[in-house]
Amino acid sequence: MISNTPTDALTLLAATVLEFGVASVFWAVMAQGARLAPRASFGLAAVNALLAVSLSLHALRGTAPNLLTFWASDVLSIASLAVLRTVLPTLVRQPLAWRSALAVLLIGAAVLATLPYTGDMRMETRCVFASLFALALMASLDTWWALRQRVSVQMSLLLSGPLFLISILLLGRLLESLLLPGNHTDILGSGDFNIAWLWSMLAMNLVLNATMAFLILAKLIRRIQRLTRHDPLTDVLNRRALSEAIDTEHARLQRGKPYALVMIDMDRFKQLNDSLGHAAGDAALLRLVEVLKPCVREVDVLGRLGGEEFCVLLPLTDIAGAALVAERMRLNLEECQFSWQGKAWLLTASFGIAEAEPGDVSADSVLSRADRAMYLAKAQGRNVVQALDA
Amino acid sequence: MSLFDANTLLQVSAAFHGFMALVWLIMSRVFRIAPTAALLLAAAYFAIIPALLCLDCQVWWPALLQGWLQKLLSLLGFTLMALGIRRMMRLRMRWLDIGSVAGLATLAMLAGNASGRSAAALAATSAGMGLLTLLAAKDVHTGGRATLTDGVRRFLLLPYLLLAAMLLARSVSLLWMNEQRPFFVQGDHASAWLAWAYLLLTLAIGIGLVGIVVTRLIDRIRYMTLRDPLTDALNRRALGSELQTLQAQAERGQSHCLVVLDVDHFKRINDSHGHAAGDAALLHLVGVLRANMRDLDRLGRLGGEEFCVLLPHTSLADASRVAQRMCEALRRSPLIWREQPLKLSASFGVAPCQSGDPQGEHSLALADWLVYRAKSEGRDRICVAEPGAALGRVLKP
Repeated sequence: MISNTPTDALTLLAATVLEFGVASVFWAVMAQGARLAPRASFGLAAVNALLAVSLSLHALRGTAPNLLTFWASDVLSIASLAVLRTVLPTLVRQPLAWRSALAVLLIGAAVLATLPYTGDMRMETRCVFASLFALALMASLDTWWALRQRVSVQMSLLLSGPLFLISILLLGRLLESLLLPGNHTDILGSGDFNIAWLWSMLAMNLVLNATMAFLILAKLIRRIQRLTRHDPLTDVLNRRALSEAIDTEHARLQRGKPYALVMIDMDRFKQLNDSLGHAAGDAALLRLVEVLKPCVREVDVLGRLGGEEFCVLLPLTDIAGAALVAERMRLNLEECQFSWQGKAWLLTASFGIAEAEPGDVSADSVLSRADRAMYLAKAQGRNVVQALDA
Repeated sequence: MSLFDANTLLQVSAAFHGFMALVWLIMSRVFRIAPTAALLLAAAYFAIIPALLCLDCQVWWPALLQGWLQKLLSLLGFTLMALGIRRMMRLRMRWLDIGSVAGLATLAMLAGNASGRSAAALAATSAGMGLLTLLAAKDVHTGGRATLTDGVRRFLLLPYLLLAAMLLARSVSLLWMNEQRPFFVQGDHASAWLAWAYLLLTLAIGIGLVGIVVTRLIDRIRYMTLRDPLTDALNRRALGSELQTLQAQAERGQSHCLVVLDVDHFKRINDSHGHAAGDAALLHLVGVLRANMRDLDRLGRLGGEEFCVLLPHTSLADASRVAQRMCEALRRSPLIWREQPLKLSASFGVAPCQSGDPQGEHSLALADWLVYRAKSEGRDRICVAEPGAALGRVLKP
């Protein structure tokens, strides 16, 4: 710090405890009031509270009972990161990782219980920081892998990087106790090393809590993006997102990349709704999507245009390829079983296919061709695939 | 000598401010959440740091800047903070109150400095900061009304009010006692507690602001899951739960009605003018319907071109009048599409919320059936359920 006055260790420690306490209250309020990722938020409230207690106990060494200020303080600090390691995966849509966390905590606590807590306490320091480092590293790696599957490299780095930094800091402390065994530390001492350690603890607190907040924000933003692009009922793309995908594909048509569209309309949907109710209609749409999804490749785009009407965009596919896909869909749908409250209902759909031609000025003309083909299919008695050339 | 050291606490505060500046910068640049407000807050946190970082490093600065640079930066920081909060709470950006408080405080501070009365200059700075905090508190109070519950809002407001009280009290004490000393003094007991209070309150304010951003996002998600993305009307699920409430009240004898409507020849609009025209037609329809609704009425999209209006506490006769008005208004105001008027009409079915139907399925099915009757009678008209009669009464308004 740029200052010509020395930093006071006790004040710094007390301020750090205060920050942990405020952060703990914040997460508890978030979990309770906003029902925001409750498991993770309650977990983070516990992480901050445990660290605050652990630090306070540590500061009381010499004035309070030794069992509390030595063993309990160290175990609480390990417990804090164990909680972090447990709840962190829930923020990236993974299950609670409590087994490994509990294992590290139990081993750490057991080893610490066998240590004498006398002399320079090098072994104790090593045990505590080895456990903390293991937990922090596991949490960081989990976060990194889970994020990498969903968001860009930069975003994953930004969100998991701070956790790796914390791990490195803890590893540094471990190495320091191995390499410089003479550096006996008193947490209230005013030596440069101790002051630097206290500052890094404060920084760790800020970084940790901010990273957690950012993870939650990223989760919320992803949810909003999903809501704007996906149909809430069937979870396939909504009309706006599908149109965008088709327009993008149409722009590539000029560069000689063909594409085809399959227009799908469920047969006798109105009758289904009228006779079995809207809930049955919803279930039928879900079943339809469930059957159609395995028929398309990764690069294909399935979207709902509205009501019982769906469309599949098949990039780099000509009309023969589209006919194959559509026929497979038609057959799978015909063969699938659907019943509502014990009443069986034959699920079929009519398919219209069209291929983009060089003469098509916009994607709309391809869409309307596929639409007309679909109406021809309906006119032919439904449950058929019909193509229409330009 | 105090147990705690004010200087260390201010260093911690400074570290927190620097960190918050970074957080808001990331919010603005990476997450693009409230980018302008976040940028203002980041600037505010940066500006306050020099005043906290060291109490006695003024001696390093050029003589010309001594005495007023820290004060000026503190005032600037609080001004930016007040502006950022106003922006964040989505209130109208009016500068006059914040600008005049900041300007007057700066002038008073400069005047105090020029006349050599450093206590007065400090008092003016402190008072300005206190008033700016009060303005921010007012904005949180009014702006939070929409999204935050009263309890949470009070909890969030507390640190602002305490900080304002602390700053104003300090200002008064400086003037009254004409103390010739800086805001915080090293090794001084009172200063240490002042620094503790400052740290705690800024922590609470800073974290609270992050909380406000998070709740705003959650609110947006909640809103989006209830709304149809194109027309902003309730989606079918949300409309269903609103209808269930009305049905439960109908059970206890309240009279509610619902109107189902279906746009006439919608497919023709889509086919001949494109899907964009269809979307525009639906938006136009929703605009016309909303103009004929009360605040407590609810509009929902059942799917495609089919909509439903819930009319709580309305008799069947009144509901029929509402539907007639809507039908008429729709016929009178064609959609202007590519500078061409496009005729738009709809068929309406008006039904009461019947008792003995907790899910509202029968009421909805009846209204739906009435719409089809209106369609079969020639469209662009309404069909009202008639108690006792199997067929509804068809009206062409």
